[in-house]
Amino acid sequence: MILTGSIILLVVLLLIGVSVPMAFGGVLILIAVLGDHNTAAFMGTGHWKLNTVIILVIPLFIITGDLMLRSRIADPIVRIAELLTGRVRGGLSAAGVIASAMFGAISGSGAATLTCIGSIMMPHLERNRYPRGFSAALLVSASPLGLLIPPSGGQLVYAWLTQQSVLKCFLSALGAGLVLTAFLVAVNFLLLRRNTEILTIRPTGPVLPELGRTTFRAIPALMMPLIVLGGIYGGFMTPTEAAGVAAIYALPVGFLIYRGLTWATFWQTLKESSVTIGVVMVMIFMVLIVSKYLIFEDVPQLTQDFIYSVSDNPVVVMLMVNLVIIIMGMIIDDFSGLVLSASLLTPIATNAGVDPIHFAAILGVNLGMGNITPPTAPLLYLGTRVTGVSVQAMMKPTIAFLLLAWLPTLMLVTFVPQIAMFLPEFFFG
Amino acid sequence: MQDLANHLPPGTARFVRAMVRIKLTLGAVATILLPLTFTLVVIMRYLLHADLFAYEEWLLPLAFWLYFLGGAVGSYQNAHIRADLLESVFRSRRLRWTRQVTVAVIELAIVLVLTWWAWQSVESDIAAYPRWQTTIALKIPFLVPHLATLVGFVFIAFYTALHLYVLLRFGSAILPETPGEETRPEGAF
Repeated sequence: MILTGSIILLVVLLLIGVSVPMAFGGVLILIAVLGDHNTAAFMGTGHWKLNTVIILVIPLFIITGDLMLRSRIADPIVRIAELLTGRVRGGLSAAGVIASAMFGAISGSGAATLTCIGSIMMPHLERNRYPRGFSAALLVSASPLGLLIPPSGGQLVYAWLTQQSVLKCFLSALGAGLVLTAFLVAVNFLLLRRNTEILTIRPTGPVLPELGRTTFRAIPALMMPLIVLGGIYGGFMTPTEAAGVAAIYALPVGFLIYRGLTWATFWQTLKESSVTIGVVMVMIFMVLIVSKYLIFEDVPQLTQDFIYSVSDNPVVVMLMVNLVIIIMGMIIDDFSGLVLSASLLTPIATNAGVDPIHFAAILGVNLGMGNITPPTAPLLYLGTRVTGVSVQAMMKPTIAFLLLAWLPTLMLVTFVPQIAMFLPEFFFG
Repeated sequence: MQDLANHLPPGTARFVRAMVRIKLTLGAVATILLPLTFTLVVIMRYLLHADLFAYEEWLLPLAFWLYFLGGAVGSYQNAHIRADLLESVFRSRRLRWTRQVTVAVIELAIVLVLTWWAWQSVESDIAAYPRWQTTIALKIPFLVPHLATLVGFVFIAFYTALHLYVLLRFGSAILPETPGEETRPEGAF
């Protein structure tokens, strides 16, 4: 009763446009009405769950992403990608995908990736006569790479919720991110193969020296993932400390090297970050309370019973788990989906023989997809602001990228465990 | 973008803007304190071979204030994440206004219940004084982060009520003729 009621209420509230934290607040009220709980303990549960240093990686990654966004660090990264692929038809848009993957490793944020890479790439693509709707859809579809290519705040939270190794989760998602990058590039070339209007970039001089100079200019930005991953992998820092150091490292990089930050933009960035942090963390606070009480009500077991009543074949079980996460990703944001899925679905996936580290990659791909799938598609909506292209114009190519790149990646990552497990097993045995 | 305060009487608007400014200033300071603290922890460990004593005991309550003050400003700016499916489906301004009023009423009802539960939590802290729960080393009462939740929800309720007031006072005329993300004014749902 509580499971069905919660799902129906959540879907109805979200569909009519109630904000995600208040929709979960509504579910909590339903749980209070139907269940036998001490309501005075509800807020205490949220405090207890959030009162841990590891959860601070979320605000720290938000701050780092926002500071990097204002620092103009994306310019050399985009140029590297252009030099690598810009000379063939469809190469410039492929450069957008590669730049998104590279920037994702620096910012760890899909929104920062889309804003930075999208705002730089879109005028280039338009100048070279790439179709506008297609270009915007590709940049939007590539932006969740920021959530898959480590370091990623989402993977840190998953590792914390499921008590797994942070680095193994990072490496697992990296495998999925690389496969997705390859798929997006391939689909991009496939869809543009007959477009004869596109111009290609003709290099004005030898490519290699310019590639060398540009890579040198990008080194301070590319150091960011090395600091975070090296700090954690080398045992010098905890993940939270590494995220904090990364944010402070962004200051001299932004102020002195790329000169995108001024005192005024810095102060403005801090104010904007504080609001983003509040919006995300209040939502997570509510989702954590609801997931805790859903567990009290034995919802994970009920969900498992329901799935196993259809089939106990692991392939069917994982298809259903994926379906549940895709639907969840479509109606709620990625962090809420991550918290709910990690708490409620990890045991089901584990019972189906999926390693929790493998499940980190599956979850990452699913929630990345959710970010660009309406109705709750924050990156798709952000894409309209960044590129100036309407959702309607982006919809058809976005669906093509979902079906031809995202969905095959999801299926491969789900049913070919080596994609997610190769790197963790290679480094950790 | 329109500011919610633009639709309020001048005195109320000044008060509301001042409160938002204070929250943003406090939030910005707290935002930079988080990475500074962790960097200091690393510097002290490797350069000074010392520990920053019990830093998490004051940093986590500070983080709770950041979360809930930021969340409150998010409510003022209408920045909380929501699915805008029906907003683009409804072509009629009247229908969109009705939906926004319905959503505002539902959100206000929910946040008032959450505020009550947050008050219950604070009340039980106060009732336990002087044997209330504190952190181990610095003896910071748990009341401090619990109070952040209460204050946050009170402000979220206040701003939600203001959004509702603006919608009811100005009617559907406050909404643009055609739906779309460009057209939704800040201050309307």
